[in-house]
Amino acid sequence: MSWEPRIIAFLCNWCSYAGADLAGVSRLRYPPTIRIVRVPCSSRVSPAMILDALKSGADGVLVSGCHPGDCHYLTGNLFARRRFFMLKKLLEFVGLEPERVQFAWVSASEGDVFAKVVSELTEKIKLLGPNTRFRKILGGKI
Amino acid sequence: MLTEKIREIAKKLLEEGKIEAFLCYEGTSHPFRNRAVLVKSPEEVKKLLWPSFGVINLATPLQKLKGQKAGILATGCVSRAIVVLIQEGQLKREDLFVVGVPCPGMLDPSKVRDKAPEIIDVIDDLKDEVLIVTPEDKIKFSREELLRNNCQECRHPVPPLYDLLLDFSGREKSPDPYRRVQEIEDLTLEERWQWFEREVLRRCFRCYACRQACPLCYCPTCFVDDSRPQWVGKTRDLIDTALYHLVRAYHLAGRCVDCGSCEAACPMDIPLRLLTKKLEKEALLAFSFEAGLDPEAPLLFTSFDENDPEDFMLTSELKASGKI
Amino acid sequence: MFYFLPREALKNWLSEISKVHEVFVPVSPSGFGPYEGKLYLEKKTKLSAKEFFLPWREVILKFEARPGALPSPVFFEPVKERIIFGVRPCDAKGLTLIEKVFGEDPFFQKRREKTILLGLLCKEPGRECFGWAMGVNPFAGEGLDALFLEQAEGYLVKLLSPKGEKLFKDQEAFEKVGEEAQNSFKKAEKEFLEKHPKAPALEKLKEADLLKLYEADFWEGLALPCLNCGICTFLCPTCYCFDVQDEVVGLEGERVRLPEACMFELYSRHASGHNPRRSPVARFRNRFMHKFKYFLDEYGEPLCVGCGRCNEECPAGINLWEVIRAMSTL
Ligand code: SF4
Ligand code: SF4
Ligand code: SF4
Ligand code: SF4
Ligand code: SF4
Ligand code: FES
Repeated sequence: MSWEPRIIAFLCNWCSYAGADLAGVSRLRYPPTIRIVRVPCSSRVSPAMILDALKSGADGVLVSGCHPGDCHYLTGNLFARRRFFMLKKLLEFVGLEPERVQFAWVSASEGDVFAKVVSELTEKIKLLGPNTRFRKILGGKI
Repeated sequence: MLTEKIREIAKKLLEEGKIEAFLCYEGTSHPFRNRAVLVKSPEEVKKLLWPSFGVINLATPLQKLKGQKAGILATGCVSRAIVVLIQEGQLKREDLFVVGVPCPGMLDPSKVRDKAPEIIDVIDDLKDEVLIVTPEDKIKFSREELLRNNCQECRHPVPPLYDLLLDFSGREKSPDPYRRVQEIEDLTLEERWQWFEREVLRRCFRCYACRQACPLCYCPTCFVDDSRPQWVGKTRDLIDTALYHLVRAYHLAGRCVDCGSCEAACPMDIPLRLLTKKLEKEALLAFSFEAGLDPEAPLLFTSFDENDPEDFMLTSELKASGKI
Repeated sequence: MFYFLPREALKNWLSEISKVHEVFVPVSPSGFGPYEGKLYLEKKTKLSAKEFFLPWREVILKFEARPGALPSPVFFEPVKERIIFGVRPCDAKGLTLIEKVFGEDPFFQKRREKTILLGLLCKEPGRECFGWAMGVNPFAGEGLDALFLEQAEGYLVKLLSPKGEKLFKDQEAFEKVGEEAQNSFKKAEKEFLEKHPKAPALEKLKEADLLKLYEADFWEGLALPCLNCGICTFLCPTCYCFDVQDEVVGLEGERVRLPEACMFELYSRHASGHNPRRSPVARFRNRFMHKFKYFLDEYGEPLCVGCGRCNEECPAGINLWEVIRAMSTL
């Protein structure tokens, strides 16, 4: 069997989760590579959660929330955007493959965008191959 | 000299009853270490001195003094740490009397240590020259060479917040604060990971001195000590260690004042500050933000701008290529 | 029994024994590593050989992380017979102190049994060393299987245990030496001990009242600069606090033991959340009370071999002698 990436997707309850739902209901095709974790808002996602996913064996992580202006909590995603920007710079700085950690805005009506995001991300990660760099192995390197 | 000025002002403040105690540094039996000390009476001020090796930010022990009206000797980065602590509600401005010093920079104990096998004394003119005294000899070095990296790269030697500023001419602002960060940025992705693994992850034995020394790591329970969930394994596993370092640095984004305490505390001489310095650079470039300059200003992560960059996002990339 | 090894023969000999045993040596100022030609003998290393006996990660149990699965005990990871060369006498003495507490511990014991410890006397005490003050006679080589004394042309080697004798029985590089050499060893020892007496403070500490020490007011002031980091404890060749953790990745689980520090808040936090040593001062006090009172009362020796690492590396400039002085003159 060929290797299929496993991607953890943190989707905000109010937009992106609904967007993913719509993609499903509309029977849009996208690769079955994601495992969804529903979060109240994109700003709920902390770097420890993202890194923990990679450490536990995820090949990629997606965080997706409402478009700026649409956040259910008004500005959660605007705070989140700054934080993710900084996180991404930091991860790149220490040599973590930047493609593995991605951020997106997907609204409740954008089922098609959601499907595209997942397809694109899956492609990118397939090119990279499995996450070996940031994956914890018991009794691994010390 | 600075030492006399410090003693004089500490004595005066204590005598006038403006403060209950003064936090500063004293000498130790070790020729290149200074230690934080709290004096409570005018008689004790003779202990105090300007520390050429005051490498642990005084704002760290300052937080043990909550509720006392304390005076503190503040260089640029000590003053900036105080600003952040005030912004974050950890210190009260009215509890403090800040004696600022336009900072001449401090010497790096590790750089000094490597200059001779046995060192009896270090004489610092606070300007151009440092004499390292060995049993046989006195060796002259340029001060610039022996400064801590963060002092060489300091953007704010002059304290932004003080009640009184000592009359002294300190360093100029560094013309090239991000040179070392740039050196890492210039490596390939692969090389950067190798660097991280070799210089940071393999050497770190998780003593957390870097966290403990930091004036801004004051969380009652640090995320590494969380057990439900446990974000970080406790052993020296490289991935757990990476997680610790990445999240620690990230928690200091927009807060770190580049005082170098973390790096100075590290027993393995790990170049930790590069991670926080990188974030400092990004915050400056992308958000024109610098930490610890104004107690009234919002923090980096408690504010946003509608036009903050978002070209790093996958949806922006898809849009740009016409895919969505 | 004594042997002699010419200086230039040392590296060769290390390579020779590396073919049969796992050999570790000080490789850099930071610490030990497998012998691959690199050797750092100028000064003692930052990390002592303690890590070979209380390793950074000792697996004590393996399990499958699913309900109902029974754990399978490992008891100890098989340790190959190994030789550690270049251990300083104070560090080896430290192991004997740890042994007082870990005597029954199968992991520690197994590692001790499987290890041949070859000591190296320092040419001169380092700036922060005070082993003798703590009652350590480096020439006695406690805890070692053999002890190397550096001389003009090479090393004089004193055998100290059956394990040591067995190792050196058929080592061609070494020549047996006679009385003269032995006398030079004894002479060096005598000269050293005359110049370096035990600290009178230890007797005073033995007599001191435990509760009075505990409640003394000097702790607050002494502890103010302390960061409660773990540097002094991790680098100390006698500190042995540990933690036990279950590590799980996927379905695989391991119970591991790892070094911890009484300086940490988490170390003494109970499951209930209560922490008897919540304050930084209490944790600072514990380190010194443990070394210079509790352990001293229990075993007649302090839990310190005077290696000076804590004084050398403490970023806050805490000096152990200032604490001992306060404690012994209360
Ligand atoms: S992270 Fe390091 S440099 Fe930044 S404030 Fe903390 S101790 Fe200072
Ligand atoms: S690393 Fe983060 S969680 Fe830990 S003390 Fe520092 S800021 Fe708090
Ligand atoms: S101080 Fe150094 S060795 Fe200790 S945890 Fe920090 S990086 Fe690791
Ligand atoms: S005594 Fe020094 S090394 Fe030990 S915990 Fe305190 S600051 Fe850290
Ligand atoms: S307490 Fe300090 S001097 Fe004593 S053995 Fe430990 S590290 Fe060495
Ligand atoms: S609720 Fe969707 S991003 Fe805040």
